[in-house]
Amino acid sequence: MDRAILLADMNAFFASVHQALDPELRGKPVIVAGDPGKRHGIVLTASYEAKKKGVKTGTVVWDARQRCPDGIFIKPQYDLYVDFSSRILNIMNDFTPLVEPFSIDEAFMDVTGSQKLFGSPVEIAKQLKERIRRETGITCSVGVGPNKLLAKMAADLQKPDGLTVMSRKEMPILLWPLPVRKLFGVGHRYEQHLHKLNIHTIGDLAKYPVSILKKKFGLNGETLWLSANGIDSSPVDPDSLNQVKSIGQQITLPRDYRGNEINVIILELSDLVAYRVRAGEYLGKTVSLSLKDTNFCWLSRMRTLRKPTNLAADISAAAFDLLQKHWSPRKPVRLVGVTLANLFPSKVEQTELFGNREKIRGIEKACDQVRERYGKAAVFRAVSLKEGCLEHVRHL
Amino acid sequence: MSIYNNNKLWESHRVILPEFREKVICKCRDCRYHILIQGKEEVRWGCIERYKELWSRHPERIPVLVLLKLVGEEGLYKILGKGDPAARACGHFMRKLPPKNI
Repeated sequence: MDRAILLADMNAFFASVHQALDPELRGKPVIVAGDPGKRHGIVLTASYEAKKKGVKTGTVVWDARQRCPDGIFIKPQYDLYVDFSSRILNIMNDFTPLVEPFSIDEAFMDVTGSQKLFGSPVEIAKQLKERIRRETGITCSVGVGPNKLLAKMAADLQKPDGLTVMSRKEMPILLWPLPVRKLFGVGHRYEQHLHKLNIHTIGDLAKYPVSILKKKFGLNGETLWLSANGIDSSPVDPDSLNQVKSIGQQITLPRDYRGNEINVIILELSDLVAYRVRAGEYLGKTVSLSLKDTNFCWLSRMRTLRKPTNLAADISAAAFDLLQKHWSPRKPVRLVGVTLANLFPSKVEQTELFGNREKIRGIEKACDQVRERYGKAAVFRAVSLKEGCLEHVRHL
Repeated sequence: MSIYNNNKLWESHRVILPEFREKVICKCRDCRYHILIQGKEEVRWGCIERYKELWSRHPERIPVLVLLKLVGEEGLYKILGKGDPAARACGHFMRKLPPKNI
């Protein structure tokens, strides 16, 4: 028996949240964008009224202002979005316990076992849309399919406020004529590679010999071919977020940093990452440092430590080392990120007899408890008071 | 075909804010605003998030008469209305403090 999978995707989510809370914003071009003063000046979400004027996600703020002079620009309020998202997930949970959040505004639902209670998948989708609209004031597009891939592709076909059903039979008619870029998992680079193979539509990819794709792109080639043929047996996993592979934090700096200035930021980011790693009761072994210069040239380097850690001192030491080796002190830094990967549970941890490692561990644990009780900005390093540190990093 | 038997395709494309992740995986029972309300004959769970300003440190258990004095009957019903410990955490979720004072 075919499964019945739904994907609900909120329409212009961040903008819709503001419109739902403030009736004066409804029907007006609402643009949620970062602060250009902090060089976060890109559009995160534009309402459909703003989209009509050519403002898209990723548009630079000054460009958005030119395209939409009467646009209402709002700074993002993530707490609000998380709250709305949780409420929407709770509504979904009323229909089935098999809900897998895919991003802050999308989630998969497996309603195969809920049909006797709530009706056919299409009826469930209608009820879901109605409840989300009534209880949160947000509209959503729902895709219905026999697997996650087809549900996702179906939801993307009709926006805003759509409801699309895609069965296996309809897939060749609806999907195959579309450009290959529209296929889930195909980005700009894959598109270029596929064009070189004379693959321009999803149908071209579906009919292409899988052996050649596998030879050319490895396992990803097979994945693409399966996707183009609408084959996907991955489950809707409600516990998918319980598994964490890496924890990281990156930030775009308000100005270009050079030389040793960046060290304080790396230390602050390492503190944040270590705090999150400890909160999740993990230890990690691989530290990676990402840097971007003013020309948007990207560099990412990683190092595997000898012992797993959750201490900021270890993470920052590895990150400093990577910085020294791979980045010239004269080169300006626009963006910096620190990530700890290769994570596993910290239930068993080797204590040390010598050195001051246990002392550092105790200090960090005490700091965690202070942060837990009084907020993340309650305690920080003295070096963060120096000029050049990022005040707002402490409030993330 | 092994790729599609697990969730690999979707895991590598998932974008989740760390704050959101915490709220999604936690239940109301893990939240500091989810407390026990001690009545005359029974004990029930309730959510005091709406009235969180009333306490400097949120109690784990509170007698219903004390709560009635603080929030009134209507407030008590609102608190008891969100009492399911197994419900998915909401946007106001705050992890429970460790039992020992620091």
